[in-house]
Amino acid sequence: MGLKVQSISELDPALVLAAQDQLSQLIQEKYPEVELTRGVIHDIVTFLHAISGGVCQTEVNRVLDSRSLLAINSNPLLADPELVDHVLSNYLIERKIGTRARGNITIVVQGTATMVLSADSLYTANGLNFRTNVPITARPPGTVISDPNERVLELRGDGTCEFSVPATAELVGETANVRINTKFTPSPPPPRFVTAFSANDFIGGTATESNTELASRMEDGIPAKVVSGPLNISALIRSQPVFADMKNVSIIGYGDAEMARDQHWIFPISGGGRIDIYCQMDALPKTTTIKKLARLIEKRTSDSIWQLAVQRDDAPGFYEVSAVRRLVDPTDTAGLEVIYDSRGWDISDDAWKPDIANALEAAYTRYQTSIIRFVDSLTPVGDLTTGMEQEFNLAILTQPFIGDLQEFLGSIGHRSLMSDILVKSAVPCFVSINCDIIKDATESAPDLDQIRTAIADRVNNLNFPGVLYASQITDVIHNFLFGTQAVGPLDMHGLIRRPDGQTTVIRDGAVLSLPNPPSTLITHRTTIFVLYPEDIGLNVVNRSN
Amino acid sequence: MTTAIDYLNRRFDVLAFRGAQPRGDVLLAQTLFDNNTGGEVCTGVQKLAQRWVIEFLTIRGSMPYHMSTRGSDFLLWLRQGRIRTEFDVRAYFNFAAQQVKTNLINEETATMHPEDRFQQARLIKLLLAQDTLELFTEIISLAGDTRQVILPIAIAPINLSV
Repeated sequence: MGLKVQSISELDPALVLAAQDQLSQLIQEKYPEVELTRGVIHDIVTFLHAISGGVCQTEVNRVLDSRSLLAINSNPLLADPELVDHVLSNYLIERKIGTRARGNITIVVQGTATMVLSADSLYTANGLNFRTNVPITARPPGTVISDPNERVLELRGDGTCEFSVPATAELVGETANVRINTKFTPSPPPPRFVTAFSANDFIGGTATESNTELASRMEDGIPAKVVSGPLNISALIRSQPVFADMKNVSIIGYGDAEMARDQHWIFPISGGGRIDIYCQMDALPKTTTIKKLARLIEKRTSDSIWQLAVQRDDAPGFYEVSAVRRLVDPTDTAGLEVIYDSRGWDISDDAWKPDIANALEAAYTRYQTSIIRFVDSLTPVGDLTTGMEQEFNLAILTQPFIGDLQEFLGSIGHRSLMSDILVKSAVPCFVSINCDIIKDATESAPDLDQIRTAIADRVNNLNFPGVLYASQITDVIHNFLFGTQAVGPLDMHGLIRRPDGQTTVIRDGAVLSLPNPPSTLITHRTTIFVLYPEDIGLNVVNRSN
Repeated sequence: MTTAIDYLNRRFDVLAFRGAQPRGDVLLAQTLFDNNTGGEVCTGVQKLAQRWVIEFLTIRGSMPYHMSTRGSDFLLWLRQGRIRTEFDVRAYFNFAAQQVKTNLINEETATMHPEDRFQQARLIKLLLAQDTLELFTEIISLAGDTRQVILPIAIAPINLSV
């Protein structure tokens, strides 16, 4: 809503009436002989003036609603965005402008013949539209290419080939940051089309900040941007453009139950001087794909066990290795089974080292390392020799920028001289939700993709809530229902990947609460809910009666 | 007989229906001024009659904001084809006149001159022709003064043949 009234039909009748009453009174005082009940002067003079006065008063009210922090905070939805921008610029806060998510789509086609895909082709995933960025020519396997818009078709071993194309979401917003291996549907399908899926996580999609969000960020503009109190540290982080889109942060220090690093003395009492920062850098964790060399450590009857090391710089702050695939395997296959994940830490090369005493304290930090073992049940065992090495593709789930943020806060220019600081990915509780949507047989079904996207958006932006209520989910679903449609009972399921490597399962139909033992670092100040749209099961059923 | 001096210090409105004569039926001009004369003002029962006519002929809801409840439904009913016989005209006129009365009285105050205040409107006579409806109405002020107004209203031609 701009400051200017765009149509007189949007005027508040009470304002028009007030303007007419005011003018009538002024005229009556000056010219008592003029008749101001219904008549020519009433209809042609005072009433038309009242409309004009209503326009002016509406615009004045809009300015008043936006002129100060008091007015903005009392009702951010009414405030004019341009004026809000001006007011908050006094506190060095700028509105974030929304951006479109970008990524690559892998397209699987029949045969190996050359195929051409035009630019601006439409693909849909999770109910959202994406367009290919450039025209892509996919050549037969073995072709030598030089043009950046050419690809070589890669054989998948089943008579099909795949190639990838860059694509961008049509709408701005983080809901278009779809996960790796999300299915895409082309419209219309290209020739020889078999299937399409995201080759990696789509990233970069951010929403334009609303007045409410902008005003709530004001406290990041006022405090001194230094490593000190929580507000100061949050302001310091968000003042850096690369970290400005950080979703949520929780800062643990002296006196907090979750702080164990300040007890590294003879007596188990807190001495202070330690800061743990739990970050949710994006609405959803991101998948990093890397190649790693693995060593064959055991040959079994029909399969083999391999081992590799994830170093601290491979995916700083990672949660888990979500998939291991042979180099020849397409990325939409399930991958090999990970059977062992042992965490450690590595601070040996750093000039400044944070105080880390065990793997629990190092978990989800940029210093974390891991030994991974997995079972290769696809490669024939007869071709293998124990001790041999081979490269595998690893998909690793992590929060982005954890390593960069640790480097920034631990650097000599920003580090507090009285404490050390350790940045961690927020502890994840991976949520899945199932429920029925009940409707009459004569009613059409609601848009389930939109509902899933909206639910995930709500849950992933709860900011270290500690509990997830079923009513928060049904509240979102109801926005998409119509007629006699209703929401059935919810089943909420949470899988917490604890910093000690164990998993804890929580399940409830009404309130999903974190178990809250500070010793395992799972509390409302360390843990976030993570919900992917594809982990939401919605089942539309017709009412039986 | 009243003279102009009786209307000194009375409230006036601009005259919108001009050309009235003391006696006889005259077709009034709906204009605020013409080439020969400037605008005129009216007061007393003539002003009241003008108020009533404007209110009666305003379709309720056609004016926005706080004026949306002003006017009457007579012309709307006419357009909707509800009014087909002389009996209909009388019935719907009475409904509409009551709506007008409510609106006019609501905006009046006790300090207004009784001649400016509304008491009653009566349908004296009506003519229903093929394409015209003429309403002969009498407006009566609270002071008892009357003013007759003829409202010629164009209607959709109807086929009177069987």
